[in-house]
Amino acid sequence: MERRNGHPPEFTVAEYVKDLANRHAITGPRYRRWLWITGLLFLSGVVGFVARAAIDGFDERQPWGYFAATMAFLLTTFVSAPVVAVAFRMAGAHWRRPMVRIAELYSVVGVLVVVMFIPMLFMVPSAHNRRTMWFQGDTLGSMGKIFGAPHVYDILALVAVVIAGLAMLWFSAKADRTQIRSRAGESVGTWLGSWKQWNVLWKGLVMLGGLYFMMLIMTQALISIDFSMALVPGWRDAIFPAQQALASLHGGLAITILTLYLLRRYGHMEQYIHMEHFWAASKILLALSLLWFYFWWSGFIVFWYGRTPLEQNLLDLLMFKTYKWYFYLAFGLSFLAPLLTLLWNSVRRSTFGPTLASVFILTGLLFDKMRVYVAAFSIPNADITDHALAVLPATNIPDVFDLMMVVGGISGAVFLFLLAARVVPIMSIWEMSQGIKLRTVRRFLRIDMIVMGRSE
Amino acid sequence: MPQMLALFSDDQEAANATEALEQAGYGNDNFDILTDAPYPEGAFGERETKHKLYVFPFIGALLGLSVALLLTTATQIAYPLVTGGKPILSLPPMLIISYEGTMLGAIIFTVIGIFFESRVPNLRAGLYDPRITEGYVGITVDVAEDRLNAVEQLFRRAGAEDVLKEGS
Amino acid sequence: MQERVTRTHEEINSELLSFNLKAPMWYWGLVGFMGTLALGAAISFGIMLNRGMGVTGMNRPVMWGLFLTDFIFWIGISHAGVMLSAILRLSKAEWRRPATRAAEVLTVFSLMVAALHPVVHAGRPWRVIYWVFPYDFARGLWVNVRSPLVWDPAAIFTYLTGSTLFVIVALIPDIAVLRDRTRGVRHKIYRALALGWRGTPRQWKLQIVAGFLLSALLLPVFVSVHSIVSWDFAVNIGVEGWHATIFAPYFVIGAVHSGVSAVVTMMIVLRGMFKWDKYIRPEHLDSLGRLLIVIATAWLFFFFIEFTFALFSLESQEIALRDLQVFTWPFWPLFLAFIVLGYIFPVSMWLSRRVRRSIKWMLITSLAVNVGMWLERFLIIIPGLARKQPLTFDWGTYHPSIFEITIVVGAFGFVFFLLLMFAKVFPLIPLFDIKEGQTLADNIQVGRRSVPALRIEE
Repeated sequence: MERRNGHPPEFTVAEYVKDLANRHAITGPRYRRWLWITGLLFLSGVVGFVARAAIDGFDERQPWGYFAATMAFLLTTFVSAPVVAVAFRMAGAHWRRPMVRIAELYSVVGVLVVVMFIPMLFMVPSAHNRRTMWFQGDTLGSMGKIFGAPHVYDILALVAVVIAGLAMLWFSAKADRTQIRSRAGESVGTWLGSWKQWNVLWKGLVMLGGLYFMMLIMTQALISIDFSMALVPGWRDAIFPAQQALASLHGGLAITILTLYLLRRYGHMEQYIHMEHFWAASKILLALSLLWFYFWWSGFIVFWYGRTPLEQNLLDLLMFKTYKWYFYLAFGLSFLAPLLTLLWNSVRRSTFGPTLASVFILTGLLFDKMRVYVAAFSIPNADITDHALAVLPATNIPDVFDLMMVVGGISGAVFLFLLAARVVPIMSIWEMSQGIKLRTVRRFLRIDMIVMGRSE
Repeated sequence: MPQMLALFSDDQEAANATEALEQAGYGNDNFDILTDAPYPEGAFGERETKHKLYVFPFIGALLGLSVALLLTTATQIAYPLVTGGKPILSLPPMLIISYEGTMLGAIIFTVIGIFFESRVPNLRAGLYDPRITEGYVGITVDVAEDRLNAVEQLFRRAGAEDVLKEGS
Repeated sequence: MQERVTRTHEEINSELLSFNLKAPMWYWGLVGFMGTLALGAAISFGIMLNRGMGVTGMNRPVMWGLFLTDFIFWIGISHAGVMLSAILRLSKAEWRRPATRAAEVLTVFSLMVAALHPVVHAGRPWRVIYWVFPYDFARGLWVNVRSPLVWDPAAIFTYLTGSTLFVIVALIPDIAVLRDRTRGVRHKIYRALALGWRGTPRQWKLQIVAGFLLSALLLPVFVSVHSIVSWDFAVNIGVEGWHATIFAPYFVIGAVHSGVSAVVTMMIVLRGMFKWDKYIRPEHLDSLGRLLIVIATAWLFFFFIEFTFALFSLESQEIALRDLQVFTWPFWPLFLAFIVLGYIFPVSMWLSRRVRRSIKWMLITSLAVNVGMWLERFLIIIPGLARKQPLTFDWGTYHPSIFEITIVVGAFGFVFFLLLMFAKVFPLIPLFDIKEGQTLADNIQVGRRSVPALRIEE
């Protein structure tokens, strides 16, 4: 007789759906406690922001470096998490199933990021007559002025990414919310679960996912260039936007793995979340960590070898003098620590190992954003149109308001995620059900083997 | 002890035969399976293969790294010519060549390890039949002289198409 | 939907080894033709050695011409093997099975031919050894470790050694099949090469572990090789358009793009030549086509960044170079052809499932990609060098001579010649891989539909 799906304890689709629906209906004390904690920390971040605005205003960028870094960190990690759902759904990876909804839920943090981005628009001058992606410098004077560059287009790109992410969440959760409502005796709305509806849903998710992915890469590139690289005179690093795009894949996967672990451990979902999910994700995480190093090295070797005074100043600013400790921490936590952790098969084949690596990566990303944005924001307005960086600014050490904004921003993201998880089931009912149906255990010669069906 | 080779055209019959061998007192150490394609581990009841292949790339990598570092350091010190304003012992280029040396060492030693752990080249191969590469599953077993007939009967009952004995 | 074709092991052996055991007459004609092209290249090279580099079109300031373009092109093609074999093996994609060996062998031979190009380009190739080989041949002169021209041979040698060993290790079980199917001298040779392979579970387990381990080791090497080749250009501050940090991943993704397309071309040719339509099926081309869309779009992203950041600094020389590349004769038709053939035409075709499953269109689009990517390398090298010097009287143009063209064409002939020779001696589709794929294939019943499935170890 065939066993069901190879994971003790065995469960059917009906058992899984009932369990998820029941869990979704309850709010535990731990959840409420963390809602309060993150909410209060978020409020403290708002207080820090107001204090900073009152004391320093928006005329100079330098006091807002850590705020910008926090915004960039949230964009690179939380807002980028849906890429996990997009990429592994397109690849047809079965191990994606417990984590796709977690990844999609993080799209709600985009609302916070858009709100945080608005004050940043006042901190950066227009693209006219300086070197930017919008090519409105004197050499190309005949091109004329592009209205609103870069502000209008950056905010539009960010809003588009957030809308795409939220749309993906809404569509993906539609069937599940209908399930929940029907179990609660409420009206089910228009979702019937017909073959046509499922077909449209799947194709729609694939298309939305593709759009989201391309928008995310473009937005990361635009914002990182306009709000950091373009503010440092002479800094021309073609690999920088690709690095930022890679960081968003890195951060998105890391935050998803961390949340998956917390859900398994504190949400008591051990029967649905197994070592194999962490094992599969850890291989991608290791590859992305290696790619992080590769992209960094590609940029470094060219600047190091060129040895022009500008390149040497840039290396000193971003890596070896002014912000060297941020760089060492970013390098160590984004590359070395995950590599040394994930190199060992026994560590990859655990739930804690990949989670630990994810924590390293998230911390490393935070320091990396601080390194880039605080450094870029510390260039005075008068100097950003210079031909080359001639004088290194002093290191900007964070004060209490900066720390409040950093902690508040991250807590605000977690707070929003927790709120969203009350509205949408935290694990996808339909995708997990599909996975249960496509998996069984059968005897082959003298051993039991898992048989996995292809979903398309 | 003389060796016996039974050939099965059906892999399920071969699996049943290994079960029968175990019941007859022949442990995993006494018999071996010969196939023309990899089967999942344990499909014929064989024990998990223990190997130390993973040690070889580490040794190779260390050796490769040492040689590359030595080479890059010694050559630059032997001919100390400043080029492009870079220090004589420039770490980034040394790192690149050391990296390649490390990987080369790891790869070469991995292949040495593969040959070593696979026990190839194998000059005293034992009983073999070319039908194995045509899809037959072969089971070789070391049998005492006085039990040859009994084991042959066991294989025939399990569905063996042919049973070969050493010297036959 | 996956179309499964179940064959007995004997049928697989017969169908995939028929060519090794008895080649048709047209094969020898094709070998002769490719050999003639290679011979033509050798003769041209001989004339070049005898008369000097003046027989080529290279002259100040364009000192790097077709040979270097072709060098990068063949390094790019060599990336196919590791991409398909290693990455798809590590990700356990079932559809890799017919493509892996052909891709790995293409890697080895294209790398060999690529490595010959700088030697040919050097003019006095016996001197290459002085600045590449780490030995004090004379007067206390040692190699300059700080030069990317020294990193290149280190990387290429490592990749070539690794790829060759990878092919050899994976060939052993198939050589055993040939050993069992041949007689006489051939049997003796195959028996020696099979190293006593018997097919025990230990040997198979190590074969599989070796596949994973070597794939994992070769992947970083494959990334490093083309990155190091790109740094031949990128670390240089003297030539406009070259000193960009994006070059390493840009070259690597371009290499993957051209390499995977070359494998598609090769698989279609093999399917036609050896009548392997049961093994190389439209579903494989469909999967490759989908992979290519992703790779090509990633390549386009890197190309877009490279181009945009070239203009970012608003330096007049850089803008002039891009103007030369895109809008000025004779480069603008090449640029147009590169963009259309390298991306626009193939990717827009690949978006259609019918095209991805069409042998004819996949052949056309994969060939188009490689023409486009060859032009890309040409456009990186020549225009930048043509405007290298700040004083305009030093500007020059480049017209490749018949000797260079013969050598480049001969390089293509040599690679195909080597592939044909390999195909005669060893199977280009791994037999045990196909057999394993059949062993692991299964089905799951979901309602009224039988869904193709895969057996996985618990």
